[in-house]
Amino acid sequence: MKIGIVIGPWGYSLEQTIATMQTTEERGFNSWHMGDHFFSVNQIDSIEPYLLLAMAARETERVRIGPFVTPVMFRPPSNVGRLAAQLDILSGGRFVMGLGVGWHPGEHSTYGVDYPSIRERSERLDEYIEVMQAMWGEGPASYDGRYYRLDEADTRPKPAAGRPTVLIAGGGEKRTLPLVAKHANEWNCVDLSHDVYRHKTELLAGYCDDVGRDPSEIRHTMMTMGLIGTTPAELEAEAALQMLRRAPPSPTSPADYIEGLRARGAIMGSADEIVDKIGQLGEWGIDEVVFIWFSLSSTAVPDWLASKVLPQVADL
Amino acid sequence: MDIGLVVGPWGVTFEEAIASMRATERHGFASYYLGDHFYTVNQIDSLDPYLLFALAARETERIRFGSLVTPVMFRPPSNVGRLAAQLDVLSGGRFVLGLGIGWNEGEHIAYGLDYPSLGERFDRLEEYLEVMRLMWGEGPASFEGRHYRLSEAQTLPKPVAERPTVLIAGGGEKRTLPLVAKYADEWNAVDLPLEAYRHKCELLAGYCDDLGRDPGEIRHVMTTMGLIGETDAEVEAATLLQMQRMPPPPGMSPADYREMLRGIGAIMGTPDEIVDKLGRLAEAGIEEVQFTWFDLSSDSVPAWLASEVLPQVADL
Repeated sequence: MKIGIVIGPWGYSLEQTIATMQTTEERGFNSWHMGDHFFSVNQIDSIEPYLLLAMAARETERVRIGPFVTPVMFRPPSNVGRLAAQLDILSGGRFVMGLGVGWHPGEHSTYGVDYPSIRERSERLDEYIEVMQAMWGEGPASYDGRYYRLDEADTRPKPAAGRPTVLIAGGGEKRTLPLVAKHANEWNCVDLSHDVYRHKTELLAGYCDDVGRDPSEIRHTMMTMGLIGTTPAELEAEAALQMLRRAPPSPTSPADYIEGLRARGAIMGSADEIVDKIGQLGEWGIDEVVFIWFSLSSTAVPDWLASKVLPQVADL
Repeated sequence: MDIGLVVGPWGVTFEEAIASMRATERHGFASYYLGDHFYTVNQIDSLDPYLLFALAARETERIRFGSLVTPVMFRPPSNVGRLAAQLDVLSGGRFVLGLGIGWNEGEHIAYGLDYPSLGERFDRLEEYLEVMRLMWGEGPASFEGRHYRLSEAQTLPKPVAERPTVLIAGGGEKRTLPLVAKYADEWNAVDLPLEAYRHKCELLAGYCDDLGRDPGEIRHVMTTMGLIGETDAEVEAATLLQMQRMPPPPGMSPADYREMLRGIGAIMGTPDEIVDKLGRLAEAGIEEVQFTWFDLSSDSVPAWLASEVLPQVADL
């Protein structure tokens, strides 16, 4: 089982955020992902991922890197398709193009970015990926979609064949899973229970059949909202940070928030509990679990995972 | 007088582009500018400058660097405003955001980007500059334009100073110069003959008066398309590269092409001729001249400029 890290690049300086890529690589994690938001709840410092991904491509050697995930409405596909191809080249094939339909209308409207219906955003994501794949493949490429177009575009430099990896996040059964079946090399879901995961896996297999694709080609990764704290006080501090960024629906205490996450299936607790849960996920068919690192001013989260969890799950 | 270099990151690898920024700093130049195009004429390798800017912030310590220039239709202002602010922070205030309306309709069409009329592109550039200035200033900021919007946007982190250096290029008297007066920290008067330059300076001063701005706040710089080199072979190689990017009328020889450029005021020739021309520009009020460096496979052009020209113009 591989273990990855996604950082929430919010509320810290550029230097603090940059330091996380080296820490993640040095501690032996498989991937360093970076959230892509103008803001989530409060308008605090929010670092632009594509600048740091360029640095990560040059300054790390082993970890997979990517945005987690880039919302379809933020930038045109002509821009992101080029960035992705070039980051894949610069990193020697380690770039993971994480994409999603976005979930936060407020950050879109604040920055004058359109936020159409979920149906239209899903249709756009479909075209967006088709445009990017046309840009990455042999050119010149033309595409005449409802939302996006290419006209004899021969985008260079090209990534290696079949690159970059496309990751689609989300478990939407009517719209997202068909896109996963059609386009994704990796599917990312968040804290699903075994029953729900199995149900969605079956649906995904059906959608793969529809498009004549082998479902086992798609790597499954699961992000957990689980909080890591080596002491109860650290755990509460992490909870307070996550609450600032995710705004729980009703006012609640850090302790209640932690219980809520646990009840939703987030991976939390002692090292043994976490290793046990990761073992179960491996048996379900999950290939990588991605933990969130919010408190970027300290390396406590990656340190603890690297010393207590990674060695025990490496062979799962 | 300061001397800078302009690199079109076309037909080069990332390693060559990174080496070029390091060489620019090592040889004592003041600035390093990158073109921003999907392609100019032929669809050859074209690196995204914003990835290279992130690397320049890490790989260099002293030089100013920036875009020459970013076309208004390529990326939304919500994206470029954040990129510019954060590149400014990453580089300790060395980033120069050059903006323009674009001129190469073909690359817009090839990538499915709108390319409205000249008038609308100017209208958009004005709103774009307004939106970014609001994003860089004290928030929260709202803006209701015809093309772009902000709604209570806070945009953190902020740039090092009031804003990143904003550069506007070109001498258009009706639209460009009023924008320079209103928004620019630097005006790039690309290869203007001295008489035309003086005339436009008067116009610019008038537009500054209209706004109550001191024209002396605006730094005047000039990019030259001049083809230079220590040997005839180097000049010939630069000529052939430039002819690929900006094709002349069919049948024009490299020698005639050079004469054409010289005729429009490009700075070319022996070190003495170049130093003489720079001296006249300095007297007229130009504070920095940027030469185009075409052949990145060797740093003989910057090395030659650094030994033959820079020492003679440093005190101008």
